[in-house]
Order: sequence, then structure tokens, then C-alpha cells
Amino acid sequence: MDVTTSFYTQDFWTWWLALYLYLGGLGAATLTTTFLTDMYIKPHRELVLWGALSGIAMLSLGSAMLFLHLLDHMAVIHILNPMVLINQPNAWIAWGTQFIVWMMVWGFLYALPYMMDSEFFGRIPVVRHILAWRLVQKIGRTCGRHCRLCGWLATINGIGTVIYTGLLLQSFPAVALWHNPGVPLLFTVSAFSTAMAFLLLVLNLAIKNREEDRPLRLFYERTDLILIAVELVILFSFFFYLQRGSQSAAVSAQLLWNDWGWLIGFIGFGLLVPFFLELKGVIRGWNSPAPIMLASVLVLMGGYLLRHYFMYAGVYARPW
Amino acid sequence: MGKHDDQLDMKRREFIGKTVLAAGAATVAPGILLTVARAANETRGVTSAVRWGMLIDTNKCADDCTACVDACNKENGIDLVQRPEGASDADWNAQRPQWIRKVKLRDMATQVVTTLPMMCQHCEYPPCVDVCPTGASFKRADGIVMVDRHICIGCRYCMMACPYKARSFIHQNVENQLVAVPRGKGCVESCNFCVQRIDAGNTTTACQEACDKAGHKAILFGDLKDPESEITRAFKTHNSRQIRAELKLNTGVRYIDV
Repeated sequence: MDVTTSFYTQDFWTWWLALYLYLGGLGAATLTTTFLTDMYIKPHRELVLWGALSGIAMLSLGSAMLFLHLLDHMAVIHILNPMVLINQPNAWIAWGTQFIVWMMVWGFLYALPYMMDSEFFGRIPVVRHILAWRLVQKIGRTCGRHCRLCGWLATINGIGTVIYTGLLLQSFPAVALWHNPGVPLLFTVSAFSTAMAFLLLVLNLAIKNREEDRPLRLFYERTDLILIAVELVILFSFFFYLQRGSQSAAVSAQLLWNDWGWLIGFIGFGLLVPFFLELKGVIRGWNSPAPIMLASVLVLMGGYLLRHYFMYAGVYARPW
Repeated sequence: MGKHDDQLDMKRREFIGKTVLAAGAATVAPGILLTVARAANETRGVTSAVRWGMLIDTNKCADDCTACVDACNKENGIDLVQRPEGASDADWNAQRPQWIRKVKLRDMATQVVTTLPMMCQHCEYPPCVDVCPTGASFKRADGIVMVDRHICIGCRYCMMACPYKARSFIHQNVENQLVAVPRGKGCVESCNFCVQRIDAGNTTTACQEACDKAGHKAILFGDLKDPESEITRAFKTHNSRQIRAELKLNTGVRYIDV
């Protein structure tokens, strides 16, 4: 017999998991982008230091959100252990934890030689002493000699982390909104878009809008513009997939596309407004960096809203 | 003086080396031990020649009867879990462990309401096992899906993955508990077909026993791979269905007339 179906949203994974996914994707994409920039586009010590350290800080904060949610904090040792991949190669969270840990390790090692040469870190009391330790000096010199290897190991783990944030949601067959191959793609594009926005803010605010960095800023603007366009196309296809998919997918679509936060907050201010601001910047240019900085802030806000609404719109269908 | 410095340096290097080695061994060792422990469990007694399953005749399931739920609560010590001080009714109802629930299905055409017990469906392809980061959520060779509470980190991904809302999370320390069914704060748990009975050679679950005793005989438990078992014969003579069959999980629990 055909029975009536009820639809439920979940209340286990709320804003804190959205923040974990957001910071995980943003931190990993930021770190990856700065290392690839430094290795292949323009050697840039300040950008590497900003990218690596802020990326590590974001990933640490995101992981802390997850850690605090556990009631038995000691039990986390079971997932930090790399041997867990032998027991559970199917679990994306097991892979993701390893990606995050090793990305932070290799990211720090890539940045270490730059830290040792930096005047800023030489002025910080405790850090100055640690950087002067013979062991740290030796590790720093070794990493400097093999910087490409460290950079690529960090990059591989960074890309793994970014994709994992989408795969984590995709692995739940009971929720139609999450269980489709578009989710890892959407989250990956969004993570790199927010990373471009974050680095544009770093280049405009922290590294003082240097003229020599102008081509790099333009490159990030153009890349972000393309990424936002791709994100809009993915969302467009999501809209039609959800409407024509299973009942729970249709309910998710109703929840998303009837919510002003999603429509105006995310799609309007998080994607369309920055898209047109950056489009004008790329085609005709702006007299001031302010519009691009505004676009960057909006993209960063939109990146969080995407994950926030995705968590809340995940719908379970139950025949009771 | 220089010689003395060298000796100190060697000791420090030796110390750092040994510390790194010890930290590495401490990190990796639990994983190796877990692998060995699991391997030992799976080869002792439990065999894939058996697949435990359940067939529930919804025509016989009485609307107002909770015998299966009560028996499950008693058998697995769920009734010993006390309500935390200050917890509201809503919080307690949402958080208390529940391995079986009675749910109602309404026929869209006739509006007839059918009552049935809902528990872990012991899927052949369990999503809870796929997402568990530590392997705490696992399926035994005989098809029973259960949780190893020693390595459950309480992340609740399995609860998110389960389409049947069959898993519970223990939010507080539990003082009174049964030896056969230990439970601790921060762990997930669910129906395990009364595994303590199965491993002791029993072939009935507490819920089936209670249902039989109440005179309904709606629950039939047995080996789905044994062609002579009562449950296999019943499968051949009745039209049974999986709940949410479209997910293709090949559940071990089936329902007649839904």
C-alpha cells in the first residue's frame, strides 16, 4: 500500500557543523591557493605567511567546533590515529580528519622557512626563541630545500579537505538534498571562491595594496568571477534537480527557495552582487579598492550562508 | 668543555629521538590493536552462513500494545537510564534511548492506519557503518548491525545516516546498567537483535518473546539463510516489504501488509 510520508529536518547538525564545513573549506582552499601562487605564479613570502597561518587557524577553529560537540573528548584519539583508514576506508570523515591534520603539518612546514626569515616573527618573544632552536632551524632549512615537495603535500591534502567537506554530506543516502554528486562540486567551487575573496582582502588590507601585486589581485578577481559564475550554474541545475527529484528533494527545494535568507542573503548578496562588482572591476576597473573589498566580504558571508542553509534544509522522508 | 657539550647534545638528541619514536608508536598502536581485536571477534563463532532477520506481521500488531517496547527496555537496561535532573518533557522524550518505537502508517487511499514496531532494520548495506569514522558502527558476519561502544567517539554521523531514526545517543552518565548491555555517556546505541541472547545460543529476541506472550505473534525472528527456518517459510508464503525499499539497503527486517 502507498502510505503517507512525513518529512523531517534534523537538529543534530546545526550552525556549528555549517561553521566547521565553512572554515574547513575556506582554510584549506586559502592555504592551497597561496602555495600554488608562491610556487608557480609569483614567489610571495607575505602571502604565504598570511595564507598558511590563517588557513591553519581556520582549520583549527573548525575542528574545535567538532571536538567540542563530542561528549567524550578523549575518544577523539580513535579518529586522529592514521591507522583508522585501514579499519574504515569507506568513511569520508576518517579521510577528512587525516587530510586536515596532514594539511596543517605540511602547510606549517612550507611556511617555516619564510617564518625564520621574517622580521615580524623575530620580534615575537616566545616564537623568536623557538625559531632559534637548532632542531627547528634544521627542519626549516630542510623544508626550504624541499619546498616544492612540502608545497605539493600540503596542496594535495588541502584539495582533499576541500572536497571532503562536500563528500561528508554526500554520504547520507537518506537525505536527497545532500546525497547527490553536485554537493562536493558546489562546496569545492564555493571554498575556492571564498579563498579568493579572503586573499583579495589580505592583498588589499594586510599587504597594503602594493602596486607590484596588482596583476595577482586581478588574477584573483578574475578567478573569483569565474568561480561565482560556475556556482550560479550549479545552483541553477540544483534547483531543477530538486524540483523533479524525490519528494524529500522537492521539500528541500521548497525550504530553500522560500527562504529570504537563502534567496536574498546567499544568492542575492552572497553571489549576484559580488559577481557584478567583480565583473565591473574586471571589464572597466574601479578607481578604489573598496568595491572589490565589499565584494570579497559578501562572498565570504555567502560561503557561510550556503552551508548554513544546506544543513537546515536536509530533509528525511519517513512513512510515519 | 667542548667535549662535555657534545655529550649533553647527544643525550638531548637521543631523548628527542626516543620521544618521537614513543609518540609515533603510541599513536599507531591502538589502530593495530583494534584491527587485531576485530579480526579475532569475527572468526569466533559468528559466521556468514547465517543471516539473522525479522518478519513483522502488521495485521497482528495491536494498536495499543507496547509489549515489545517494554520487553526491549527491560532486556537491554534502557529502563534503568534515568531522566537527568531539570530535563523538560520535550528534552527527555527527544533524548532518551529508544531501541524500538511503535509508529503508525496511514494508507493514502483508504486512510487505514497500521501500527508497527520500528527498530534498526539491520541493513545488508548499512549507511551507519559506511559513515562511521572509527569502525565502531559495524555489521557482523551474521548480519547484525551494532555499535562497539569502546571505540564510538559519539560524533553521531551514524544517527544522521540512518533513514529509520533507529539510533539513540546517551547524553548523560548512566549509573545502573546491565553487565551484558554496558552503556556510557557520549555513545550511540541501537537494536542489536538481543545479541547477548544470540551469542548464548538463544534464537529468540526479547521483543518476539513478549509479543508471543501477549498472544499476538506478530514478530518472527530467525535465520534468513536457512531454507527450513520458520521465517524463511513465512517469507515464501507472505508478501512482505522493506520500509524505504527505494534506498536499496536490503534490510533484515521486513513487514507484512504495509
